[in-house]
Amino acid sequence: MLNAADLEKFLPQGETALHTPLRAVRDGTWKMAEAPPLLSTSVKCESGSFVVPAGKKAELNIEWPLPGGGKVAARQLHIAVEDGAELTLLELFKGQGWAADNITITLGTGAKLTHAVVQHAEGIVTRTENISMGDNAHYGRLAVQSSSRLARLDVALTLQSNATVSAAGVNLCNANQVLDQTMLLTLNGPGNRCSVQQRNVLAAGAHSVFQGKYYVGQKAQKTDGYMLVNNLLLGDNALAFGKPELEIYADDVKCSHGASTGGLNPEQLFYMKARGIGEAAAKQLMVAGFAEELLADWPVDFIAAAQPVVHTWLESLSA
Amino acid sequence: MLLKIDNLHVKLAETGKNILNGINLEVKPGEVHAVMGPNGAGKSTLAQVLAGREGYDVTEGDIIFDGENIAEKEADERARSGIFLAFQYPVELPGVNTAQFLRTVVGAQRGKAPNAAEFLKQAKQVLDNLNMPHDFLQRFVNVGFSGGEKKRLEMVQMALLQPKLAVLDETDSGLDVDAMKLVAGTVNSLRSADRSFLMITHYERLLELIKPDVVHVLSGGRIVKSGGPELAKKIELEGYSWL
Amino acid sequence: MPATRDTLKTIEDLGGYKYGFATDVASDVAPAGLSEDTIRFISAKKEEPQWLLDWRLKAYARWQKMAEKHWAKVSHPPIDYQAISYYAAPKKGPDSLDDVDPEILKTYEKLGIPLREREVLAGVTNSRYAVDAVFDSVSVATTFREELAKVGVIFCSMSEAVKNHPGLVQKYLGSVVPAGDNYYAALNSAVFTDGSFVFIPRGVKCPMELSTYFRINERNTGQFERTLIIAEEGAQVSYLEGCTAPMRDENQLHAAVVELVALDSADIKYSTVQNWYPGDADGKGGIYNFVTKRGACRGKNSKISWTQVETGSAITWKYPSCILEGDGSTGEFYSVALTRHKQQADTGTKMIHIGKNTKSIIISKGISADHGDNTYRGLVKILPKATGARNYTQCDSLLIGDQCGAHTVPYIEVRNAQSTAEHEATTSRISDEQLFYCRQRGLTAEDAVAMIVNGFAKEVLQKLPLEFAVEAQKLLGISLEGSVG
Repeated sequence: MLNAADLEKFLPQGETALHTPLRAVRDGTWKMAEAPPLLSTSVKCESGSFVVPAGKKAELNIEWPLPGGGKVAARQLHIAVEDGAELTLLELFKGQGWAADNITITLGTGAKLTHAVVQHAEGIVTRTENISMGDNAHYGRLAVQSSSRLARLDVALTLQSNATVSAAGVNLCNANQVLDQTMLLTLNGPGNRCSVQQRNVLAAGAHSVFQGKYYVGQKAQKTDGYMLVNNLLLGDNALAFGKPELEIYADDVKCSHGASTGGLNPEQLFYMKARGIGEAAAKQLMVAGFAEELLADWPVDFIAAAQPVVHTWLESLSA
Repeated sequence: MLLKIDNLHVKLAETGKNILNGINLEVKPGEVHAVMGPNGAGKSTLAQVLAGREGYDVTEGDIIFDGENIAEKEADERARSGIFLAFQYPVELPGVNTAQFLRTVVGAQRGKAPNAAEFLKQAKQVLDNLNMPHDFLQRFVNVGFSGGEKKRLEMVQMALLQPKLAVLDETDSGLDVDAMKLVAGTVNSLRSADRSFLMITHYERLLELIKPDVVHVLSGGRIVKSGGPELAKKIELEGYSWL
Repeated sequence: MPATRDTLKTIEDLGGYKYGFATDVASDVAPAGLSEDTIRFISAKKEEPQWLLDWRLKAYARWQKMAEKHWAKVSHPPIDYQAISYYAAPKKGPDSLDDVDPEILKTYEKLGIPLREREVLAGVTNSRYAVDAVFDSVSVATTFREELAKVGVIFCSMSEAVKNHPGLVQKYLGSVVPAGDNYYAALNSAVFTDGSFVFIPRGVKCPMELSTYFRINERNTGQFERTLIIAEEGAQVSYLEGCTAPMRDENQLHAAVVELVALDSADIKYSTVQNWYPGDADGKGGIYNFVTKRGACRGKNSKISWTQVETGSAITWKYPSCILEGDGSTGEFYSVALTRHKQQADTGTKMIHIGKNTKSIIISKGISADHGDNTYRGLVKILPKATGARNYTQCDSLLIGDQCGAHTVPYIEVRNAQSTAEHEATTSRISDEQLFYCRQRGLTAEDAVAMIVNGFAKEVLQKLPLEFAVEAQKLLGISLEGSVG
C-alpha cells in the first residue's frame, strides 16, 4: 500500500508536511506516472491507495500510461473519500498495450466524488470500478471514450440511502473498434436518486455497447432512477448494442429507461444545408452537438480534457 | 341533522402531528356551510378525514353522518352512504375511460349500472351545463386535463352522483371567473332541502356566487368563529389577523 | 365493474380459480416415460406417415443432446421428463360433434366455449367463431369446418392435417421453428400430439374468427401441441387461443410450438388468453408453460400481430416473435402478463428486421403482486440490409405490494444507420391517491384496483377481439382478487 511517507518522495520541493499530499494533488503536480511504487508497466499487479480525510476537499489527476505494445498492466487503486469529504478525480489513459486495472472507491456518509474517465488510448482498456456509496453521498461521473481497439469500462455502484448519482457516458467509435460501457447500480436503501445517460456515436463498421442496470432491492423504496441511451449510427455495418435493464423489488419507486438508435436526422441535415452549410460540416456539427451535450455542466478541467478527444475524433471522421 | 362532528381530534399517522384539535360542526339537510381559514389551519385535512382518507388517526371524537358514526368506515362505504368529496387535486387514472368510469361509479353507488344510453344522455347534459365538450367522455380520467377541467369533471361527478353531502375542497382554486360561474351554477342547481354542502375555500369570491347559510373560520385545528355570510366579507376585507 | 361480482362469487366457491375442475372421462393414457418407443407409440396411434416419424425421431435425438438453458429469470426444481405421460386421449374417439363425449361437451360448456354449432347459429351464445377444442393430447372437435371449406379455408386438427394435407404440413412444419430450435421446441417436435392447423388460401379473408381452446385434464400428463397457420398471398385471419387446466398439486408441463407463415400482403392476428392453473398461494402446483411461438413474415408487406394476456401458469417462458423477412412487413407484440402469489413470468418477444422498411411495435405491460416475479425480455435486432426499419418498444411495469419483482431486459441490436429503434420503459405502482379517489366515488378497493389495472393494460386489451377483451378484463380483476388489503 502506498502511504503518506512514500508519497512524500513525489511531492514538489519544499513540501514536507506529510499530511498534505492532497495539496500537491490539488495543484495537479502529483502524477501517478511519476509514482513507480504505484504503477507498474509489467503484468505484476501493484496497489496504491488514496484517502481524502473526513471533511477535506481534494483534486486528483491521474494519468494512466498503458504498458506498451504486447504488455499487460493490471493495477489496483483504492480511493476512500471519508465522511463529508469531497474529491474531484480526473483519469486519463494514454499509450499502447493493455491496461486491465481495477479501481475501488469508498464514499463515506455525505461524501462527494466528481469523477471523469477520459480514454483515448491506442491499446486495450478493460477496467473494473467498484464504487460503494455511503448514505447521502453524491457521485458524478463523466466517461468519454474514443480510440482503443477494445475498451470496456465496467462500473458497479452500490448505494445505501438518500444518495445521488449523475452519470454521463460517451462512446465515439471508429471502424473495427469495440467500445463498451457497462454500469450496474445496486440500490439497497431508500431515497436514492440516480440518472444515467449514455450517448454513442458509431462510424461505419464500429461496435458500441451500453449495458446498464438498476437493481432496486426491497428496501430501496422511493427510488428515482432514470437511464437513457442514445445511439447515433453514421455508416454501414456499425453495431449498436444496448441493454438497459431494470430489476425491481420495491413497489414505491419511479424507475424508467429509454433507448433510441438511429442515423442523423435527414431533416436537420437538410435544414443546415439549406442555410449553406456543406454536408460534411453539417454532419460534424450535428455529431458534435449530440456528443457534447453531455459534456456541459462538468468542472472546467473535465471539459478541457474531454473536448479535445471529441474534436480529434470528429476530425478523423471527416478525414 | 345530516352531519354532526363532535370534538374531533385528528393526527397524522406517520408523524403523530396533531392537525385537528376538537372540531365541532353541525350541518342540517339543505344547508350550505363554508369553511374558511388561513393556510395550514386544517381545512383540507377536515375534508379528507370526512371522506375517509387513510393516513390520519382519529384520536378522539365522533363523525355522525345520517345518524351513523362513520369514523371507522372505509372511504367507499362513506361514498356509497352519500358523501362526495370534490378533490382539491383530482387524480389521474391513465387508461381509464371517463364515460366508463362515470357509469361504473354511478353503478357502484346505486347498486346497479345505469342503462348505458340513458346514462350517456344524462352525462352529456351535465357536461353541457359545465361547458365541457362531449369528447371529454372518451378521454382518460383527468389525464391531460387542465386544472380547471379537472375541477369541472369533479362537478360532473357530483351532479351525476347526487350526494347527500358534498364536500368541496378548494374547488374554486385555479378557476377563472367564467369557470367559477359554471361551477357555482352547478352547485346552486343541486341545492335542495335534502342535500348539504361543505365548501372549503380561501376566498370570499365563490361565496358571492354560492350564498352560504353558515360560515366557519378554522384556525389551529379548531373552529374559532362561526357566523353568517357577513363573516366571509369581513375576512375578505381584514384577513385573519383580527381573530 | 360490479358486474364481476357474480364471477367473483363463483371464483370464491371454486377456491379462486374458476377453471379448476376436472372432467371424469375414460382416457387412453400412455405410461409415463420418454424413449424412442414412446414416440413410435404416439406416431402409430396417430397413424402418421414415415416421414413424420423420422422427423420426430431426429428431433428426439437432437433433444437428448441438448440441455435446459437457464438464462430466463425463473426457477423451478428439475423436471423429470421420465415421470410425464406423453399421450392422453379420451377413449371415445368422436367422428362428428354429435359423437363427442357428453362429459367433454359439458366441460367446454362450463368453460363457456361453444362447441355446438346449432346453438351458436340459433343465437344461444352470442358469439360466432369456429373452435378447435383440444382436450389433453387430442383435438375433440372442430366447428364450422364445412362453412370454412366453402371459401377454401382449412381449419382442422394437426392430426387430420397430416392425413389430409400432407403436402402443406411437410412444406411448412418446422420451417419457422426448426426441430432443434431450443430445448422445449425439440421436445415438442419429438412428442407433439395435436394442435390446430389453419390454411388460408391466396386472397381469402377468413370469414370468421378461428380459435383453439386448450384444456389439460389428465393428471401427470404434459400437453405438447403444435399449431401451424399459413396465410397465402393477400390472405387474412384472426386466430384466438385460450387455455385452462384443473387444479392439481403437482406441476404439469405444457411445451407447445406455434408457427405462423405470412406470404405477400398476408395478415395474421394471433391472440392468446392464457389462464392455465397458476398454482396456489404457496406456489404449489400449476402449469409450466414453456412455449415457442414464432411467425415468419416471408412476403412483402405481410403482417403478423401477437396479442397475449397471460394470467395463468406457475411459470411462463414464452417469446412470441416475428421474423420480418419481406420488405415492408410488420411485426406487432402486445402483451399483458400478470403474476401473483408465487407465479413467475419471463416473457417478451423478438423482432428480427431483415427486409427493408420493416416495422415493429412492442407494447408490454407487466403486473406483479404478492410474491409474483415478472420479467419482460425482448430482442430488437435490425440487420444491415434492413434500411428504413423502424421499431418502437414500450415496457411498463406495475407493482402491487413490496414483495414482488418487476424486471425489464431489453436487448437492442442495430446494424443499419438508416433505421430507428426506440425503447421506453417505466415502473410504477398504484398510488394511494388513485385508490382513494376511486374509493371516494364508491368503488370497493378490489374494484378500484381492477379498474386501475385495466387502465394500465388498456393499450393491449383493446387489441384483442371484443369478446376476448371483455373476458380478459374480468380475468385481470379476478386474478388480482385479494391482492390489496
